[in-house]
Amino acid sequence: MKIAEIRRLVKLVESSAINELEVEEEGSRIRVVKQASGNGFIAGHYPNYEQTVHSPQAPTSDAEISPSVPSAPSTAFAEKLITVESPMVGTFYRAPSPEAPSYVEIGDHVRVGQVLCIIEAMKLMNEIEAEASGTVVEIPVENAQPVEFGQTLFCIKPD
Amino acid sequence: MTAVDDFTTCGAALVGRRIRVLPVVTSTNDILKAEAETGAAVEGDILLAEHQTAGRGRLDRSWESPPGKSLLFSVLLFPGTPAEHLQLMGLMVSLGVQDGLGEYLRRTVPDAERYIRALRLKWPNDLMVGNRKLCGILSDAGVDGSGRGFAVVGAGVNVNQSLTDFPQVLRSAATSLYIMTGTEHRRAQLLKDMVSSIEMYYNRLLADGSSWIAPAWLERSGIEGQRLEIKVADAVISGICVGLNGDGAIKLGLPNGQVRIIYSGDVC
Repeated sequence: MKIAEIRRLVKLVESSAINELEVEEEGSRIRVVKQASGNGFIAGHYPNYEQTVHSPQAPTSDAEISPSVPSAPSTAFAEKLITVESPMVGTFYRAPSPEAPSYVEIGDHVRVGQVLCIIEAMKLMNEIEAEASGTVVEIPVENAQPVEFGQTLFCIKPD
Repeated sequence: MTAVDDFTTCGAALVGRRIRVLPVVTSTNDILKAEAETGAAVEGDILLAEHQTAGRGRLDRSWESPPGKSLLFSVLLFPGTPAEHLQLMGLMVSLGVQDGLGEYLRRTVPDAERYIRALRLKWPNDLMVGNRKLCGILSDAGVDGSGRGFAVVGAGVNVNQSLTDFPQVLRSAATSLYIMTGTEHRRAQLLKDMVSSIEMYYNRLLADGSSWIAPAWLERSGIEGQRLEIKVADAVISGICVGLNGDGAIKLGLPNGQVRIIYSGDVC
């Protein structure tokens, strides 16, 4: 896993309500844990054969930090992102119709009240609007995929 | 449009107290929603179009609407329910549409009961005849200037289309009152009967809240206990319908004994 990808995951955890995230990809696995103080992170990066990390009950400790991926200093992530979370269970649509352009793309600047996407539940279309102005830096959900309540739909770097 | 199609007098006391007819629109839902947001449209308003150029279905499948042959209208409702219950408005209107259709058929067609028996609700709010769609409903949620949540419920009823009015790809998936009965139908009278039924349900909602809608829909649909296959994104989930949530979501009993709550998907 590339450093850039790890940084992205750390930012994702930092800007969300979750305390811990574990991702497995192409033979490696990373675990990002928000510290109790809420302002720091522990990043564990290890190959799959380290079976000890498979236990969901495994306590998170500094011992899990890979020497090759030191824990990121919190100052590196002082730049807070705002997440836009799904207010409901449904299907995520990035555009008003298949032929239409997406409401927003990564890199776009959005203003308060601007429509970002639609969540469809039981054929009721709910427009989701930006609650802060800023720049869209991440859209972690694919178009037309189901989303859960509270799932992050957009990460926005505020102005 | 023919001379008998005077839709403007088809309203009830609240639902449809103002009915406007436009010859061609992009989508009645889009227009009515924008008007509701600015206060230009009021509770119960109905906007009807002879032809839609951007009518939508779920996944934005367009609703075919040859000019003058279908009944395309949107109604603006302020149910006063929590936002998460706005989706019940589509279910409620589907009950009204079905009742209104029944009323209309009894009055205008011999042996109406055989047609009425053939009508069935498909979750969440389509009206089917066998596996062919007679009416589709799609809603939009919004908030007006004073913060009140509303739903714009749009219905498209196939009335006087013959089979050749539908594109080839839809001919095995769509039907109309004309195809069912072999006679042309008066759309204004049909609208009046539907509006009257929707009004009755809406008044009940305003008086008693929304808790009766999902049970009423479930009973009418008869799907409880049925095996269903529901397409959710790229997967098909099979199970037994064990009921509806209070907010209208379908409860599907899976083979592993778990119950999955589904808010979005196509019942196959």
